[in-house]
Amino acid sequence: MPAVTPERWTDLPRVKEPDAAVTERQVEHIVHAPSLLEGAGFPVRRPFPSREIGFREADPFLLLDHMGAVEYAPGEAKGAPWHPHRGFETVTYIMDGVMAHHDSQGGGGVIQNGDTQWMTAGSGILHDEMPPEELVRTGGLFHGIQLWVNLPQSLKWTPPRYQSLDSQHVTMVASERGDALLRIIAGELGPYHGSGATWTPVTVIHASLEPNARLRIPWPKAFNALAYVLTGSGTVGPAGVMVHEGMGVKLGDGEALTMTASASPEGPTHRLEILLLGGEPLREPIASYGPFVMNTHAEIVEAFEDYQSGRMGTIPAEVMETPDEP
Amino acid sequence: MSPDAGRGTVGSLEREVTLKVSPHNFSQSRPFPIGPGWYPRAIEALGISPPTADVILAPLPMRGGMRVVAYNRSDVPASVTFRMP
Repeated sequence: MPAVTPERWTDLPRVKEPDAAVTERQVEHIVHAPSLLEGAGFPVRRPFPSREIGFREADPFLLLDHMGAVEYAPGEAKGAPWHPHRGFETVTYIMDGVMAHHDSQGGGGVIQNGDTQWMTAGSGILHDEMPPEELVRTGGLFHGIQLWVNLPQSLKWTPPRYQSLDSQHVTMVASERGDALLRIIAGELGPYHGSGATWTPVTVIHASLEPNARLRIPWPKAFNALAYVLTGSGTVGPAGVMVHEGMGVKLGDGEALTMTASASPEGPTHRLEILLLGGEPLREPIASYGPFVMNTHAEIVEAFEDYQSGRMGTIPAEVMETPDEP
Repeated sequence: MSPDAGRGTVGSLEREVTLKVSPHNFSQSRPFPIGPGWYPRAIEALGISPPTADVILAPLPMRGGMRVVAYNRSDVPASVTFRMP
């Protein structure tokens, strides 16, 4: 897993463990992420929204899709062709492989091997997220996530913007014991902060725990707390709830997060690879339909009408060179 | 039960689909396959019943893949027929 993993973690700054008296966050909900098809028909695992972790529990997050890890055969790789978004942000973090993207404002680029693309859809944008031709032709390893972060009502109409968070600039710190690596993609962890700018207080971390490692970190009291196992196995919370790949967890109130890796975590890295998410809940009404997330049904209808009429943006002519039909 | 139940009726003409749409509501087709180079294009309504109803169509990524979504802007129930992309 090339998602920026230094050979030595001992040289990294260490995140101090919270005091023993601090309240630990207990596991409240667990979900085995169901599999479904997205985009052009590629499989994802979606821990939320789900029956166990709904919009209320995930707030300010809306959706998490886990893509892979999968070894594509030649001709097998698929992506998400041109589609609109309005009212929220998409965060695409690619651990292995590469994804190419274009948008209706003329932007574009690739996300690969530890890069993150933080896209504020805001008032509306059209984009695509596709495997590059080379990956389709030859096949190869692909592993990533897409997270949707809600925008408050006051920011739903903010102009679209991109942040390309290069893997070389991800903030890396180690646990106090030195047996866990934390990549801070956005937000704060103790005195450290990630490079991604967020509209509301949000923290996104990819943690790697060595076998038998125990990670205990401070977590803001005002934040919610979610964890999702990318690969490997271990436990979450002070009661040691067992988790493995594809499981999502919602934790309760408190000021500390605790997790451990099993003695021999399965998976390609032989570590517990876990995504940690937290943010201040927006506590606003949510109206959601497909790629639109607003506050009311009328705003969803407006989004659909704007998309259907072309007012949300159009596909740049230069990326429509390949006809799909005779 | 057909996998298309509740997701539109496949007509006698290949790929022709009819969706029922409640007033001021959405309805969606079953997912349709897309190949390399596909991009969304306008979807023409081949027929709307009643003819006075105002229904718009567009392809959207939904759970399960890309689907055709219809929205009925009228105060009466309607059905719309179109050709699947």
